[in-house]
Amino acid sequence: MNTQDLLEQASLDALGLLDEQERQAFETAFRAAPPAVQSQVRREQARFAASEAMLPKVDVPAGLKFRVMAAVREAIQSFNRVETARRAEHTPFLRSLMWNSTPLWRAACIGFATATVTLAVFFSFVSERVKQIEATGTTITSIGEQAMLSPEYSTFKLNGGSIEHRFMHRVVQAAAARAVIEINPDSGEAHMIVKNLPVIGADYALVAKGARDGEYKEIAKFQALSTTNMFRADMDPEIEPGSLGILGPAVEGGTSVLIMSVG
Amino acid sequence: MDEDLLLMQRVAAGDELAVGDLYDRFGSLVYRMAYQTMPTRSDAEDVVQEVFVRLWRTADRYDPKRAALVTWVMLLARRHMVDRLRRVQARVRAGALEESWSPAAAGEAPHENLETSERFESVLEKIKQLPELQQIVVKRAYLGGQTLKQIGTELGIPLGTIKSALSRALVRLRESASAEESAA
Repeated sequence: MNTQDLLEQASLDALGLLDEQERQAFETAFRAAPPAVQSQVRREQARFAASEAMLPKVDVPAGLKFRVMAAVREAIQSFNRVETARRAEHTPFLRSLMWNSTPLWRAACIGFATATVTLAVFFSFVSERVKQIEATGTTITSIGEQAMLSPEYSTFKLNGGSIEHRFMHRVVQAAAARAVIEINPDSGEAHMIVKNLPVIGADYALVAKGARDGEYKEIAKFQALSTTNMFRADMDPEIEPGSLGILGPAVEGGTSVLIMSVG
Repeated sequence: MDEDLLLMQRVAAGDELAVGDLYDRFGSLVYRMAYQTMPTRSDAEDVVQEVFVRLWRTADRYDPKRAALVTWVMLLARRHMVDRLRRVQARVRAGALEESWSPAAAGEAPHENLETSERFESVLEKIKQLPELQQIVVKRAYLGGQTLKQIGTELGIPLGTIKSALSRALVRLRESASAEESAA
């Protein structure tokens, strides 16, 4: 489309006389035209658009402005209502937190409550079990005396003996150690409550003294994780409870010594 | 910033004062076009309201580099009216206009005859002064709402010729009106 065609069709476009295809061709040609031609086209179109040559000479009805303003106001309000509703529906994060994740939150809450109840039941059961073991089990007591050298170190001196064992571990407390063990005579399953072991975090061993050779043999190893510990072990039902003892953690020289025994 | 662009930005933002300003500038032109195009005065008033709602909806698309505001408004108004007429199939019949215009023949109510003749009387007088092809094309395209392709096909005349004839006719009508205003 040359400049002459563009100017010729400017009036037709301004008066809406071009169909969609023709209008697009005109638009393309207009955008490709030099700025001076574009200005000329704009002026020409404005002249036609504002021309009253083809329009009847009638007065605008009184009140039409009021009705126009009311119609636009209604359209704006309607748009705002729809837009507000749309935004409310598409507030993705909050919306998902409120509704989409509700089942998740509900499940989490139910899970938490269930876990709380389960733990309460469990601790209640353990507490009862500890009381039962302490009431009916075999007591293993300390056979020496522990003394604190510093917050980091302690010594353990066997009763009546001259040997002093030095524990090179962090010492939590020096209260008298005590253990209670209950053995099922049918299955050999044993449960042991151990309190106030000299060194928390150290390895200990439950041992039994041989009836013939008098040597202590290891039944199970365990680690003291706190001041009160509960352990389970499988034992020979034939083992005499009175032969049980507990070996302490390795001391200087890498040896372990019996620190607790029955009786 | 361009004043027209600023006005349309305010209209787009829902500023009622800006909508009022827009009406003050173009309300008369739009109404007269509607009065000429629509079957009844009531339809004309309805369509003016619709055009200004549409102007509010599309205000953010106004580009002063593309067209002057008056062109934008009148083009949008004209297209809206043509669309509306096509929807209700109540537009002015081009055939009737080409021959001796007879509102009664178009099936209008008697009390509207006067209005109808008022709508077209002045413009038809001017159109009569044009060459025959230009008369036919103006009546069919501008007053009748036919597309240029339809006119070309019905008359068996190339589209380019139809466009040129219509363009020249519009220029002559505008010049004629300007001359009348100057003489008055």
